[in-house]
Amino acid sequence: MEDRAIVDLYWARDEKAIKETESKYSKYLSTIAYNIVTDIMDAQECLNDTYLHAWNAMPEDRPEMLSTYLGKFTRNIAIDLYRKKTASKRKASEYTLSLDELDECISGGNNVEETVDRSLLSKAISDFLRRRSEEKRNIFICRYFYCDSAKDIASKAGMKESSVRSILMRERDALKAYLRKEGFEV
Amino acid sequence: MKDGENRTDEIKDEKRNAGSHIGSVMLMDAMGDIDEDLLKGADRFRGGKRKKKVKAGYIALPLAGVAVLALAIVTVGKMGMLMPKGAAESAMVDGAYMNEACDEAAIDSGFETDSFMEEVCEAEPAVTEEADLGTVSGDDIKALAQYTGNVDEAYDWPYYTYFEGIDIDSDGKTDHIYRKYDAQNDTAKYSLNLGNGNVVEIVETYSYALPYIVVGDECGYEKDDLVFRLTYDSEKYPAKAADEIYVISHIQGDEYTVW
Repeated sequence: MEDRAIVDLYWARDEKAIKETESKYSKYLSTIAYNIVTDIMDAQECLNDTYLHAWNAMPEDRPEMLSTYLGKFTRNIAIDLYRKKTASKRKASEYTLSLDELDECISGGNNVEETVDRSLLSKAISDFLRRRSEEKRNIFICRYFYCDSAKDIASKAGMKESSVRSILMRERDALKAYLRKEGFEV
Repeated sequence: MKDGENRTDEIKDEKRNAGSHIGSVMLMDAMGDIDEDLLKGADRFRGGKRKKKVKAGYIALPLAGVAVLALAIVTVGKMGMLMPKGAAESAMVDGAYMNEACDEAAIDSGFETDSFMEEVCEAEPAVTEEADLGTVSGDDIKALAQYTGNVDEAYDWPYYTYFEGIDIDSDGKTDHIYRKYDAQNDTAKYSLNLGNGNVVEIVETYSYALPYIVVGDECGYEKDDLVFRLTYDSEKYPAKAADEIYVISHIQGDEYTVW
């Protein structure tokens, strides 16, 4: 079913919307969730919450591309769940590995992070990404939005894993420089 | 314009004055709010909806390039590699005979692994039947990248018809391009199976470097040659996007060159 038709179902408050969403996007969304929570049951929970979020948000939103719209929900829900479940201990996942990588290029640590306006930072990152080549941009987003492993990214890009890691390292440095230039303290 | 610049400077000053350090968690959270149009491109890249269209121009090699290659092949002449002898006489024989032929070919071949040789030969009996292509879809590059089997039987392979039913050695037996996907290293190994137990190993490369293949008398010997071009579509620069070309030519008897 086309995205537009699915969105219409949401707007019509037809419960088939959930079924169609699940049928079309469950695999895509579960990959995003699993990369972060690394647990099938938790990933399923994230998916259910995603459908609920979409159900509640849709009468006002009319997303052009359902996959990315839902993907953002799933990612945020998965991160929240991950934090909730690992408040006392850090569990290895692509999400934590991504954090570790970003830590390497950031000096401030996590304790004062709430002082930055998140929307300003998101805009700065979007602007940064627009200036990068398509390939580098996609690799960066795959790693730090979808939390895909470097191996998976390499497979999709037809590159060696080491090349992907190298690109990511350079992109982190470039992001750091860009954010500094934009007035952020990193 | 001036107002805009002033506003930008003001925002920068606000951030600096706030002493706002950014942590990795904050960055990851902010990544969650990046513009959706950026995600669209990444979505395509991730494969699920990725559709890499094959450029028709890639099929035909530039004439000048072929001329150079032909000259090079003449020069290297007898640098031919291969071929195992005493293999099967027919591709249409029963399985037991085929296995025996493959065993013999594997012993003589000197390839990296005998098991690979066996796989190439074992793919042959499928030729007589309609190939099982259930896992291969023209719209699914990932499925193609992970495909193991005779490429010329994968009807959704881009432009497979260009090399379907080829007979490079003119022995009356259909030749096949065999592909073996290696999931562990994410590579694919290509070889030319001549249908008589002889196999020419072509190249091992990344699984996503899908080949474009053309068959014809490129070298002017009145024999068909097989031109095997690996294209790395993710490269935006044409020179890098098609940086590997192999020409497989029949010299005589069991002798071939791979240039």
